[in-house]
Amino acid sequence: MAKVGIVTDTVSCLPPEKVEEYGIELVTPYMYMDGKEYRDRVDLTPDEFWRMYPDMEEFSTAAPSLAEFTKIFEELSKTTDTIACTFVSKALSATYENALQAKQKFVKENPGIKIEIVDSRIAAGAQGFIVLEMAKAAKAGKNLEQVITVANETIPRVKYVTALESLKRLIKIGRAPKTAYMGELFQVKPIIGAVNNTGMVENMGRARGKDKAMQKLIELTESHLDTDKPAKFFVHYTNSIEEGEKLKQMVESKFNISELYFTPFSPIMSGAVGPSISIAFYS
Amino acid sequence: MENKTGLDGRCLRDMLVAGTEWLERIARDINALNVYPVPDGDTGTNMVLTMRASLEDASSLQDKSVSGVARAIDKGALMGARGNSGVILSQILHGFAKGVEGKDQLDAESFTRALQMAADTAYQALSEPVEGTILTVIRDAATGAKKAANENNATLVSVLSAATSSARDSVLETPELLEVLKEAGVVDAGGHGIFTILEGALFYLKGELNSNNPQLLSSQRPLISRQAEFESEEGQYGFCTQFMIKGQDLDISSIRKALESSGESLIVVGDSSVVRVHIHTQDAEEVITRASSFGEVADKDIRDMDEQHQDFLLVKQGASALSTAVIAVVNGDGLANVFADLGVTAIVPGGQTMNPATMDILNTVEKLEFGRVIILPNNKNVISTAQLVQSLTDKQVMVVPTRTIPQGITAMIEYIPESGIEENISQMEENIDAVRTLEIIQATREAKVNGLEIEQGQFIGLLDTRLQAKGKSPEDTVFKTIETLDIAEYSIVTIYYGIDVNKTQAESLSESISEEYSNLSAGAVYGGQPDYHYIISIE
Repeated sequence: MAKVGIVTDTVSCLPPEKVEEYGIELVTPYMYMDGKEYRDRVDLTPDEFWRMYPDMEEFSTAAPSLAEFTKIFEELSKTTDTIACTFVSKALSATYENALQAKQKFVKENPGIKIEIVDSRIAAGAQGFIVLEMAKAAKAGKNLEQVITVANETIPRVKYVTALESLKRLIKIGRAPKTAYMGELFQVKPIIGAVNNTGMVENMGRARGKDKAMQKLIELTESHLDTDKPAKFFVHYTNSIEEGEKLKQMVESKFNISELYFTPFSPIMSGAVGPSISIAFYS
Repeated sequence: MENKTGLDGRCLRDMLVAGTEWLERIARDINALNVYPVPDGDTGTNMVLTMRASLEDASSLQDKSVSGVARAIDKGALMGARGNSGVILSQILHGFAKGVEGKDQLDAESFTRALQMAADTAYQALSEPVEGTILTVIRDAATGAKKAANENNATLVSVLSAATSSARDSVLETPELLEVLKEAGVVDAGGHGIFTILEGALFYLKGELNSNNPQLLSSQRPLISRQAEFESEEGQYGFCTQFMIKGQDLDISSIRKALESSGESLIVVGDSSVVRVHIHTQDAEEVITRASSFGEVADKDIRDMDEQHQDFLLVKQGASALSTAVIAVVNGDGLANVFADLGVTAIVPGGQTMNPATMDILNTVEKLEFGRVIILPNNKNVISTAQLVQSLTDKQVMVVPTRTIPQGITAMIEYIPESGIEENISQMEENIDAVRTLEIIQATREAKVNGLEIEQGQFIGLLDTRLQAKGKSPEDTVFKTIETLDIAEYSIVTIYYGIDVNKTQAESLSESISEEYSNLSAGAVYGGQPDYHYIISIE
């Protein structure tokens, strides 16, 4: 029996070597910057994105088209008849809905292929954890049903916290927490996250200055993590790899770590939240 | 009147009206005595406003008994208490009312007992009573009255006279009891206030009001120049409008209902024949036209309010998703915006030179459609006023004791609407002391405070409300005050500049701080506050 195919989107911010190692298929959402269309991570690397960012006036995103999914399903069905997918929270993106439609059309035309799609209810590295667990299970020879069970067991446990420069971008694209305020004040960093499995972006508070914001990310991580056992981490950075390194060192000195990935936000995530720094975690 | 031994409630009211007017005449001088610890609110103004509020209901009361009038005064004072001194004064009036409970007439014996209860009640109200303050003065006045009451032929005049004279001696003694007063060479302002009220009442009883002037027990000129708040205020935020409606079968609740939508801070009190109205409105004429339909409008008093005092500010965004409101007491349009941006639900205007009344905060609490309310007083003189609100409403009210604007902002930064009220309170309280507050203000007379010789026109720097440095310019004083801190511990400096400073000046100060101290990142934000050239948070 061929191993289960694994599909996710670039919002997962997975390290390229893991994508390669597990043969994970990535669909790419679209972004529109100042009238031009780009596919996330395909047409634009994080570095290229940040070079364009200072002059960026318009930014919007769009879920991958049905054709994108169909192309990947076709490609995978050459080597397997079972496919497991998870994408960025369906409360935040139309990716899940588009995938569902593509699946229905595809299985009708290809009755021998089985496709399952689970809602990750989350984004970024936290979504990446779910994908990695699914990929590991698939590599270990688990069947589609078992891979989906692994996903469903992982989903409630993965969390992330993010310190932003400003809520402006998130408000602009309509993803800000309901209770977030537009107002900005010198050196006040909004903190968002997903720790309650709501599928939404949650308001986690604020901190004055970058140092306190990082400290707060560590404190929030500690309070939402079972620290009795080794935990897995993503540290994400955006326009400053130095800040990312600093946060990574703080994580390393504070927690009992079994795996730690250090990756930049994909351009689409950066465009959605602006300059920021994040920790995704679970144990 | 001198030979009378017993007087009715109307006479008690008139004594206190006289005492209030007496106090009003030297309120500004009493304000200037406030050096404890330095420019400390407006004690004289607050006491006058509290007395006025206490007499509001009593003026139209049908009940002529002393106990009835005292009850009305007690209730009015509670609702109108402003600032620390106002709250203590309201406790004094509360004790007095308990002391004359059941009495129709006021005589030497009942006055003496009531004065003693007034002193006891004031002491009990404070967790840490400090001697050399209004407390000492009211207690000494009660002791003086008691001595005189034991004499043969004691009359109300003789005991009040003894109480007043003991109060005067006590006021003069306050610098000996409180070191900060002695160092500054002044007597206690609150103690002076209570003495002046007693003196005014005594002169009224003796019929000597017109042949005397209130006496200020200090020769010092004011350290900080300010305007008494009950004098004319001008600006765009509408009019403070007060008047009486005279008529028959007046219904207070329908008058209130008719005027409610015309403005803020509405107060309607009185009886079926005379009603007193107070409202802040954009259109005073319209209010008066509406009021005229109930009866004859008399004693109109319409005043412009200061444009910086945004009366009421509701941030609507997200409000429906929440169950707790936050009220901040703030002076200055820029600072009001900062608090609103951080998610405060309502602003009560007020601060150092204008402590809000309990009524102002209570009205705001009642008006908000939230069952739970957090109050940020942002000034140490407003904390007790805010705490008083807790007992006056059915809503759950919590006060985070923020003593300065930066502490209030820090508390707001910690606030998470989704968290429970207890969790928020503990998070806020835990963090407010982490921020240091620097305030710059100009001195208008010479003084010696905290070992510093201050010359007229010099600027003084307060660190966490304590005098720390002096300088020739506001900016010079900022640096001198910052130098007293261990700079290495801090990283962010936020400068809220007041109405006396322009943007360029503030931004250049911010740049020089960042240049001088490489570990500090400084920024300037418009605060629009009066009095303080700069309010600066260092964290």
